[in-house]
This record gives sequence, structure tokens and C-alpha cells, in this order.
Amino acid sequence: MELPEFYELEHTADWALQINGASLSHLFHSATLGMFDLMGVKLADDGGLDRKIDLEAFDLEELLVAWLEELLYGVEMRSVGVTNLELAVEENSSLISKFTEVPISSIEKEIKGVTFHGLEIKGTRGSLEAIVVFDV
Amino acid sequence: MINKGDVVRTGPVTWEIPKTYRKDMRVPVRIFADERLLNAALKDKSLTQAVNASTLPGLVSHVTVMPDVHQGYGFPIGGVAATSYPEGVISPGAIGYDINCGVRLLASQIAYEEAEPYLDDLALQLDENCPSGVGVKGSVRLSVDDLEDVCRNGSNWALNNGYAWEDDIPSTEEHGRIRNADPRDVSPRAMERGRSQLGTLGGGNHFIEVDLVEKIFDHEAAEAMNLSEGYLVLQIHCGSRGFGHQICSDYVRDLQSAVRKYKIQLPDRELVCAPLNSPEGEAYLSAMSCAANYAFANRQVLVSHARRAFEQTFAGKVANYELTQVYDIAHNMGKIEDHQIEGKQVRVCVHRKGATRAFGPGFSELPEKYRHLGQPVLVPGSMGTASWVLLGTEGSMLQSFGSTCHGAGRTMSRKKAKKSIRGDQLRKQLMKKGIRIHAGSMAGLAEEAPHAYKDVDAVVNVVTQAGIAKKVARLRPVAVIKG
Repeated sequence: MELPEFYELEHTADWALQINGASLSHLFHSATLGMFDLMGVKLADDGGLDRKIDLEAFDLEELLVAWLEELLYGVEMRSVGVTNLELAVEENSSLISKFTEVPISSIEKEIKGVTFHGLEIKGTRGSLEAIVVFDV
Repeated sequence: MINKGDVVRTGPVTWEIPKTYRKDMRVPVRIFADERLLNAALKDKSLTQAVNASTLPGLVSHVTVMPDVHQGYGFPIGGVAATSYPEGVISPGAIGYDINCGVRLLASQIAYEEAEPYLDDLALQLDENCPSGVGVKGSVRLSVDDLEDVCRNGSNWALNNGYAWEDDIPSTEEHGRIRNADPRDVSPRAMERGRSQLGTLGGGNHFIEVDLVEKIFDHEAAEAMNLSEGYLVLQIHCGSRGFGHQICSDYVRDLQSAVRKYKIQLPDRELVCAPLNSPEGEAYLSAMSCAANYAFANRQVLVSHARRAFEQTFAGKVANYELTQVYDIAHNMGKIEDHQIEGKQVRVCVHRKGATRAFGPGFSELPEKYRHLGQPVLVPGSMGTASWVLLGTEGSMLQSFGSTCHGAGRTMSRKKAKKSIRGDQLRKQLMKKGIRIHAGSMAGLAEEAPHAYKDVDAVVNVVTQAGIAKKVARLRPVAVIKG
């Protein structure tokens, strides 16, 4: 059975997100979708700007946090989300992304930070998972 | 998970997880709770997180857990830990993303009966004057130089720029300014986020609340605070906005390498830390102080907006619509303080995350009117329930590094809360109880439903029974503005 890309887990105060992916790129893609879903982000139908972001980190967990924080920065400062996302995440903790940055038409909730709490990318090739906890 | 059998009762409302519970613990965990609140804490990872916190290098005496504790990330919300200065560590994750999230209370001379016909208008005016919600920009636009001034001077910046009254400043923790805040330790990205958000409330559990003073327990203290039964007061709960969030994010990420450099073993990466006397630790303390000063200034600008809302609502209708500041207190902060530990004065860095400083009588920083009473402590409730005004005590100095609880504490997840009630239903329920609600997000409102929180009265009863705070007044909400 195919696992859902993401779903919310119980967390008393904050938000915990289970993410799944067949590859690192897929896992990071799932985290992106899940985070925007938690925030209740709806994108405008038109407008958009093609962008690229490349990142490197010490390990994959740091890379995931850095990627999600990069997106949160866009949400807060430019009020934009992403669509047409293409991600290439490598085992050496590097990321290359291409996406269209689209204005947000509505958003329900704010995320203060992407935490490292219990963050560990686990699994084998073909089935990767992690839990990301967000401070809200 | 920790079981009840792992916890030793040490008093009517005190418990301990001994240092022997886990090999990597450096100090025991002291819990303030009655039986019911302890059982609630055992249901999630709160106490496991407290045990994890007890592994931080340089800890002194014990990790303290307040009765409003709940699971956070890394460090529990409602936790206090003191590390020896300067060789112990400072941990941004043990302070939180919303640096100097805190509460400010203002007193009015407006009786509820007199105000009641105008409360709908007041709620509207507060909502319109105080920007709230996700990514909202404030009316104050800061140049880089202005923001650096805010970083260094906090509430004094607000005073110099017409957002404060002279009397507001001494009634603010640290007089609204933490020293040794150097904006050069703040990233350009944090500076960018900070320039447009001063004077904004944000979202989540932040609020502006109009309450009436329902019952006074300590008349002398209430008089010093200008609190009278049946009169309106105003609470503001918010922090350092995106500026503080970015500083915490930057340093939690940067200090991952410091942990490797200083060979610090941690059970959770969110507890990342650096020695206080290391370049990394010094830089974080300085940047955190910038965020703390930003938060003091932020609440001060919101006070200025709220005073305008009171004027717009009540001018010509009541004799006196002034709001005088009772106190402003942080509940997410790391502070360098001196404490008596085992008969010796020791300088420590007290990490309070979801815990309030509660210094007892005689504390020189307090304005004269409070010095013989102790420091005012503000404990907000959960939108539909009471809030409390307390005083710090000598007991808190001896038992909890001069700290006490910070609120009701969550007991239900946001996911469950949203499933249990819709935001519009909740608003109707609260309206029936005479509580006017203005909320930017109905989903966000549902997540903050009062039944998602513990009983704030039970929390306050524990801290007063333990002697780490003293009751002054109980407040009842009549209007709430949420982002």
C-alpha cells in the first residue's frame, strides 16, 4: 500500500507532521506540501515568478530544516507559496530546486520555526520517512 | 515515556524524578503539580523532555517543571533550568522561537457597568488599531538604524519615540531593556523581518484581552497595582514576532556545529547549546537580548495602539479612560541572575520557557510601589476562563530560581481541538458567556478553544500552595482579539 505523502500527528502544543517519500527528493517534496497544508495556504490563480534555490548543509536533517525555513521566509516577507516544484536532493546534503513562486491568496496559521526535535530521516531507498515538529 | 512509578512525591504539590532515573541526567527534575496535573503531564512527552533538559552541561541544582507544563520541542513548555555562568551552556531551544513572549497588564478606572454598552465598539477599535494575523505589517516602519536602536534600547526606544509613558518603563521587567544586546549578532534576514513587524500581535495563542477584575485576594497589592473589583483591565500577550523567530532559527542551526566543536552529547538536537563563555554562546546571548528588547518595544507600541482604542471608545463617555501599566513580564527568556543555591550566591543563566520570573519582596529592580510586595506575575487563562495576577515570593527564590507558572497550559492537541469544535461555534458559545471575540482565523480560534487547556485555577492553586507565588486578583474576560 502506498503511504500518504504527509499527515498530521498528535502534538499537545505545536504541530507534528509525518512525512514519507520514495526518495530524498520526494521526502522533501512531501514536507513542502505538508507544511503549506498545515498553514492552510491557498495560492492565487495567476501571477508567479520562476525561481531557483540551491542549499547545502552538514547533514540531511539540517538541509530539510534549512529548506523549510527558506520557504517560510518567502511566506512571511513576500507572501508567496510555491508550485511546479522540482527538487533534487542528494545524499551529500545538497539541494537544487526550481519552482514558481505564486502569491498567497489566503493563509490560516503562522509557523514560528522548524525544529530539530526528534528529527531523523529514516528508512531505506524506496521508503523514507521523518517527523517534523513546527513551533506555532 | 515516564511512568508515575518513576516520580517520587516530595511534598503536597511537589514531586521529583531522581537523577538516577537515567544515566545521562546531571540534576534531578523537580515538578510542581497536584495529582491531577501530574497525571496530565504524564500523558505526553513533557516529563521526558524535562529529563532530556536535565542533561545540559553546567546545570545547577535541578530542572523545574511548572504545573502548566506541556510537551514542546526539546525543552518542555513550563520548564526552568539554570546553568552556571559563565562555564555552563546557553540553549536557544530551551528559550524558544518566540523570544521574550510575554504578557503586559494595564489597569483602568472604568467600571464594567459603565463600559458594558461600549464593549462591542471597544473590541472593534482594538482589533482595528492593533494589527494581527499571519505576516501582518505594523504601522511603524523602521530603518536599519531605528531597528538597531530598538535592539539596544527596547522600551526606551518606544519612550523616545512617543509610544510610552514615563511610568510604563519601571513597571516592565528589566525596565524593558536587556543590556549587552548587540545588533551585529543578528542576521540580515532577521533584521529584514523585524523592520516591518513592530507593533503587531501575530497569530497563534497571542491575544489582546479586556477583562474585568472579578475578585481581589490581596488588597494592599491590588491597590499598588491600581486594580479594583469590577473594573476593566487589558492584557497583551505577544512576543518578538518574526524577528525573534528568525534569531532562534539562525542560532539553533548555527549551534549544531558548536555542539560538535565542543563535543557536547545531547539526547535531542533541539537542545543544541554552546558554553556561555564561548564566541557562539556570547553571540546568541547578545542576539537573544536584541529580540527580547524588540519584544518589550513591540508590546509597548501595542499599548500605545490600545490606549488610542480606549480613547476612541470612551472619550466623552467616561471620566477617565487612561490605561496605567501594572507590569510587563517575559515567559520565554534566558537571563543572567544571581541565586542562593545551597547557601551560596551563584551566578547562573536561568532558562525560562513557558515560565515567568517571580522575584520576591526586596528585589531592587522593582519600582518602589512593588518592592516590599514582590514582583507582579501575570498568568493569562484560555480565552474563556480566568486569568490571574500573582506576586513573586521568597519561596520562589528558594525553590524554583525565582520562577512560577505562565498560563493554563495545553492539554489537548491542536488537531483534536479543531475536531472538537468549529471556530464559529466556539465564538457563539463565548458570546453567550458575554465574551466578545474578534479572530482573524476561525481554524486558529478552534485550536485555542478553552477546553484544550488545563484548569488555570488548579495551576494557580498549586503554585500558591507550593509558595512560589501569591494570589492578588482573578480576572474574567469580556472581549478577546486574536490574530
